[in-house]
Amino acid sequence: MDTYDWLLFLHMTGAFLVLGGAVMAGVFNFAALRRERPSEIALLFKLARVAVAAIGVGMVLTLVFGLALVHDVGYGWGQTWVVLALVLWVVANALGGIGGRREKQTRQLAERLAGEGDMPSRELTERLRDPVWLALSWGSEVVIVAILALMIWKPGT
Amino acid sequence: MMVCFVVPNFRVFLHVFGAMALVGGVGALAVLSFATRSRPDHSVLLSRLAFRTFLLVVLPAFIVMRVGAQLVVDKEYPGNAPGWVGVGFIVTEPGLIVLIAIGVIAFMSSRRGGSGRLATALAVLAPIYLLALGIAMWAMTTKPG
Repeated sequence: MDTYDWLLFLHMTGAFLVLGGAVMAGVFNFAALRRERPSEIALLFKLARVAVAAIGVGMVLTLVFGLALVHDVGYGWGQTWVVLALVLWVVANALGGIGGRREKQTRQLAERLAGEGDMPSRELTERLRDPVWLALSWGSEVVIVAILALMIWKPGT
Repeated sequence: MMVCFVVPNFRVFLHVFGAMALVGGVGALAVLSFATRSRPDHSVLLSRLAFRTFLLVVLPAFIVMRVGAQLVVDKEYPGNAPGWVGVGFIVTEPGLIVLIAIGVIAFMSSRRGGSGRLATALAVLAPIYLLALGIAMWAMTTKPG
């Protein structure tokens, strides 16, 4: 394996961690939306932390080895798909970061309610179905898919 | 099928997107199967969710990945696929047997409330399949030979 192979393999590993992690997070978040018992919701959000860790590691790998690939292959730094991918990378991280903070607060609320009798709560249900959180959560996943499409299509090359 | 001719590299997108969703689905299944064992108080919920993840995420993702792979091979290598393509087929075709076994075990485990050896079997098989997908990803990326 030469340098290019290694860089591509590590970049792709990162991409699999990001998109695979996004799918995992989607599974746990969607399941949490359909539950009412706080202990179940807290558990599902706790499991989603595995996905968040995968996405975090993947985001770093895709950026570091993606930039190294652009340098190694000799793509222009100003090419449309390179610039767009970097912008979307920042957008996906921003949306995921804000959504993740709201998710952490919801998990903490669910854990507190689970310890206080584990009865369904209107406050928790409203937080789970908060349209802002849903838009941030699903929005970041759509942006990640858009980055994948850009990487394969490479418009402007 | 028209979209294959209109959108550049749509076949590759389909294949890669399916593969990534498959990795995510199997990863979720693995996490759920470990959690089923470690959280017996929620094993009914977790085992049901594992089976639903298999049905609604893993199987569709496998189909998208495999159809995408065939479309790419038919276009790029008609009749003379290189060796590294074979690694992918080794993982997807005999791997399908492992995937079916995962589905059957997930179904039986959910019927039994996630208790017993079935949950353990799922916790062993799902990471093995994930590892096989990792090997296929390595072969597809580095194209050895």
